[in-house]
Amino acid sequence: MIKPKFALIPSAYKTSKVYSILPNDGSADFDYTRSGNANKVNKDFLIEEVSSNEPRICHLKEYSCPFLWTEGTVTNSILYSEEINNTSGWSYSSANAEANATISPRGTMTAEKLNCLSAYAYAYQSVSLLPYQLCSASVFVKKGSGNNVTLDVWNQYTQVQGSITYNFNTDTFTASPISNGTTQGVTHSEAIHYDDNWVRIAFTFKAGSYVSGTTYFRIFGDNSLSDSYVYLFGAQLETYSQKISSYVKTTFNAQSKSFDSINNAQLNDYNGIRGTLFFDLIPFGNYTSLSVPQIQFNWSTAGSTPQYFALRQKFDGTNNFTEIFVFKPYSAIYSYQIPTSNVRTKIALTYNTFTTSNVRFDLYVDGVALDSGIYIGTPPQNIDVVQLRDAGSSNYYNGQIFDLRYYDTNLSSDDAIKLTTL
Amino acid sequence: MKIGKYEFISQEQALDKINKLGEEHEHTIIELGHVIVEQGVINENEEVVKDAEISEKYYVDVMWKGLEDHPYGWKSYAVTPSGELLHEFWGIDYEENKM
Repeated sequence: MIKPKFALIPSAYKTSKVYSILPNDGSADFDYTRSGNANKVNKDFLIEEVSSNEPRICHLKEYSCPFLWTEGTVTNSILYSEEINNTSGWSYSSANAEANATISPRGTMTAEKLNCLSAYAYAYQSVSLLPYQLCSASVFVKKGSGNNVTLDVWNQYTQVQGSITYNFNTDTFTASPISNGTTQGVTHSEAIHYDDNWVRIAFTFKAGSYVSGTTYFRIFGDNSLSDSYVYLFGAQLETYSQKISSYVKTTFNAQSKSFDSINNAQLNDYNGIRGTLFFDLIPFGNYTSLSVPQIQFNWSTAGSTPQYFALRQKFDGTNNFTEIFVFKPYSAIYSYQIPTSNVRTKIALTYNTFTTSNVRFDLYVDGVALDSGIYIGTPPQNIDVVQLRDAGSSNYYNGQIFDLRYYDTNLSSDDAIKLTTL
Repeated sequence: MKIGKYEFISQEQALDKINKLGEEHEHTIIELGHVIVEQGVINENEEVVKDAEISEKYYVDVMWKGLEDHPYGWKSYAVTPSGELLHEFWGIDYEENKM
């Protein structure tokens, strides 16, 4: 297979800069900004705090290669997220908590131990949610004496908003109740593995219609045992969220990590006649139809109206889509919507101007030729800038990027299938 | 970059102000909403024996980009708390950056 002209395979960075692998003259490196601190997962699979404007290239055991983590703003509203023994934030039902009981996912002796004194014992904290909003809840857990751990969000009138139970022995989890997108319940759940057998269990849920009463964030031990313990670290609750974000530490108040901004990789003399765009990523679901985060390959424009290829994150109020979208003033000349499942996906779009006024698009997703289309009209101009945002707005791409490429030719069907096979 | 903190009388009022900013801005808006003032208590029978106290006001924090003063219509709802804050932007000092 031929070499791409442009490739962002996250590996090298410095403050305010993410280096592209190709071209190697530095002309297509990205500018990066973030106000304030954030957490990343380092090569030892440990959580590490980084300062303003430091890009986050992260490593998880699920993936063989690192990824660039770019997110919107993330707010953790759970107080004392790493001090589950702190009674200024936490209360207990048939349980108590010990501080600094084992090595935490940071690699320091800062994780807590929840001692459960009955079969239905938990630590809890009151939380405030907005009706019908999407929220994500998570906590890092490590096996103690029990086999299971459960995290739920529960309201005294409308009961369980969402719940996940993780089995340490089988490394499996169950979530309930399941939402169909409009009803109260879980829309997405996962268990993410860290160093030293730590697992971050997480679920996203649609809040119910309650207008009164109190809602609680609760962490249970093994509900089948009358006496058990489990290790805990880093509890988090986010609102306006379609998928759990990077972890944000809190103490006595809520804390927000600001959005990541990555932009302005300059491409020179790129072929507008034929080419291939390739994306290997986990695009997170969007929570509002009002914004459309995207990765955008801009064409050289004669005027001020942008023309671009884009991978867009769309939400229609019920479902999420990853949309491949080609825009030329003043309408889409090609588009295709792939349901977003918050899992890793590989996408390639080839384009080929086969006469002076006909462009053929072919779309490949996860090793399958999914769609094709022909546009009759003036072909695209040269690509000159890559942005991880909608030009002129704050709609920054939200998700994890493993690989981003541009080839200056339309790859063959065989090559595109090979490239996108997971 | 400046940080503003606001107390609105309702979510509707806050959303009205936020929506009027439009979509083409790079401010960071955090809807804290009606926050927990005092924790609730659950007994061993899963009965709530004390409701949590939730604020009547609807709280919003904003990291304003490119502004030195509150935008039109926001100043009346601005607060400048001292001591323990309800919310902070991680790694950014409020006192140094408050509007």
